[in-house]
Amino acid sequence: MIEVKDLVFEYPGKRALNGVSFRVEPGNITALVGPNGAGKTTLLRCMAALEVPLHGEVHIDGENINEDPRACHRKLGYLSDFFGLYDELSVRQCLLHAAASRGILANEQARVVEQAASRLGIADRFEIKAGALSRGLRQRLAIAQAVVHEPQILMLDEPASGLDPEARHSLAELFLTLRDQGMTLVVSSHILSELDEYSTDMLVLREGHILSHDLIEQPSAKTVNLQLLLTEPCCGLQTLLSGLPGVSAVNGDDSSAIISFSGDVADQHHLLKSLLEHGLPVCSFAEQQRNMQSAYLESVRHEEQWGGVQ
Amino acid sequence: MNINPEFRRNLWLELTPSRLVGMPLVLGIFFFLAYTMDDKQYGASVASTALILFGLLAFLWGIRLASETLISEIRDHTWDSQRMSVIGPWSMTWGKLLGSTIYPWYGALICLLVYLTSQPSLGLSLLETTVLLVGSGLLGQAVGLLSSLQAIRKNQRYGRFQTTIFLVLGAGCSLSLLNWPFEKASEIFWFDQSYSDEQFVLASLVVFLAWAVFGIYRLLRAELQLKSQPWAWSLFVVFLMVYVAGFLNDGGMIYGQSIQQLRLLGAFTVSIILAYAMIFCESKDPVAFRRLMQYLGRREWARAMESFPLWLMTLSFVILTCLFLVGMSFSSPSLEEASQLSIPVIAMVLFLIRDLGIVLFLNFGRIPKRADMLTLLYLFLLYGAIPTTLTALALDSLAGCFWPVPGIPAEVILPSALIQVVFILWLVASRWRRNLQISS
Repeated sequence: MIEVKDLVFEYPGKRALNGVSFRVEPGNITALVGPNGAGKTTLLRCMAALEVPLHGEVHIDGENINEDPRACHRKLGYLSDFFGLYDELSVRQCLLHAAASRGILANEQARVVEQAASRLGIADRFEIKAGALSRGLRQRLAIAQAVVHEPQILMLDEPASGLDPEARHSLAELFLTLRDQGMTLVVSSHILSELDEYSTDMLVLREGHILSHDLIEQPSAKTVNLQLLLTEPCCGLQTLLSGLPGVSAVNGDDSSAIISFSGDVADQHHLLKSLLEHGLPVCSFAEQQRNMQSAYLESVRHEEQWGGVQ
Repeated sequence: MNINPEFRRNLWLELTPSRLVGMPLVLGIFFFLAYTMDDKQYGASVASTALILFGLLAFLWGIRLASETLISEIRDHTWDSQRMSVIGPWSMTWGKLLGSTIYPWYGALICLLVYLTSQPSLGLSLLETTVLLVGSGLLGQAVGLLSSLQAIRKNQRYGRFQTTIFLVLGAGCSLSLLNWPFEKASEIFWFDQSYSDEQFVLASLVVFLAWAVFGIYRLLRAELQLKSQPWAWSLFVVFLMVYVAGFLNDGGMIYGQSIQQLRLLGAFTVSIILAYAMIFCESKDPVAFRRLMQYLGRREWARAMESFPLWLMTLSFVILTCLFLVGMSFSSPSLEEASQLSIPVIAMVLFLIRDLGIVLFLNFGRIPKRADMLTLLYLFLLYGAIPTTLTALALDSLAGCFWPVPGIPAEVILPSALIQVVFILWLVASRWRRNLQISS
């Protein structure tokens, strides 16, 4: 769906993207993560054909964006990190303008506007001026404008910044709905917790390089990480744990350990029971989630340790 | 029916019911005051009030709105979504030009109607007066939008103070043409043909308006990511060279030159002025130059032409006219006469190349934001402070090293200019290489 090949972008005196290459498959929600200044916004702007790279290619659904940016724009929706709205226009007028400027025929405009507004939950605010909306509703209106022409791909730059937790959660649900309706999404953020809820894969960008592009692990019924804490140290803890059924790997010391364990919740119960039977002073025994945060930090640590980039 | 979305958006924003009612009410109060103060006569006093109000609405308010329409879109972060729209450059051009100024035009057209019906004697015909007033208003607004668009392509951050410059530029263009038929009552000679003032000004107005609108269209094409070759600018340069040359009908004004030489000299001067104007108006982004070099290196000529800087294109016209001038000067009976014109012309080209080099050198530096202002300072030193000081010290021939005035011996001015050109080009090349090293 999206293919980026050896993309190089420079600002005067600074290389913002350095040989970036990756693919995004249809139906994915790709999280583009990295620290401030990593090049996320520049990458999204190049992918949206708003900036011309020094070198490299971006293909959207097989079309080279440098050759025919306007053709690619028809397939894209883009929401910039500092998006703007026509504050003096009503929600309906904003959406009608977006629809008309995206080439929707006059007799179709009312229908697509209704559809986009319903999708984003702002249909009851049609006559309110955009300038009078709350931050969360402005965000929804901006996304409605970006998807009014039913693009195949939606790119969003820091969409949740400035939103309260409730609005963030509903935004995550919205992204999943859009994905289920056939859209491919690329969402950039430096707040990793918000991406956990909906991302299928994570693209880590740092100093203009791709550090990693991994699928986000889905919760597995078979293998989990269990975190064990003891009230006091116990010699030979790791040896003891390694010998127990279902345990495949152990990391830690005499007071705590992370256990890679294969089994369901009943098997976890049996494991805890056997730990207690061995006389271990267990203080805490819980499943550890591997989230975006840990995956990201793992990528960064790996890069720092090996100093390589992909 | 699909209405131009940009025009419709502007209609929604500008023509609200309260504003539609408010404008005629306010104007009506002014007209009524003029009417009562002129012994209740619907005549000259009402007409001059209408003309003044027309000027305020079309030239001041209209040009300001046209100049600000794109700047406000960038400031409010709505321009990216417009750039990703399917609105074509022509629709965007007239949608913005007429849409952003629709409300001042609503008032201005009321004023025009009152002026045409109240003025006892118009001087021009009804149609000519309408074309002149509406055309000059549109020209000012188009120049305001064009200059702001060109400025945006160079640098995206502009405040209200800078937009005043575009306002002055637009108003200056339109008022200079508007003033002409009212001030003069003689004929105009253009390429030895006689034209009435009114005819010539109206024709010039229409042609310059067409160029300004075409200029907006071309710049919007670039903003909307459509690829364009620089032929339109080349055509404009040729047009302006010919237009100005047409006014030079009196041979022998300078050093007894023929009429052809004089006109070519006029065209040469126009091309030099345009080259200076474009180097300051265009972005000198070194990354764009690198992209151009890559295209040239890969022999992608079409792409290279699309990214070709217009100042460089204009320089080619300067060199071409210089070559013609020098060639023509050798038809003079003596070498001395030939060199009287050709030496300063060659020196001017060399000084232009030096100055372009200074602009590039400073723009390839670490703080390119202030490079153009710094260039102006250097040019002031080179053309003003240093030659003046040398002249004051009675070192006139040394002053000629910095100032291509006639009468300076060729053996002084040409080597000096050439040395300066080589030096500055060496500096530009060094800085370019350093930039490449930093990037890699």
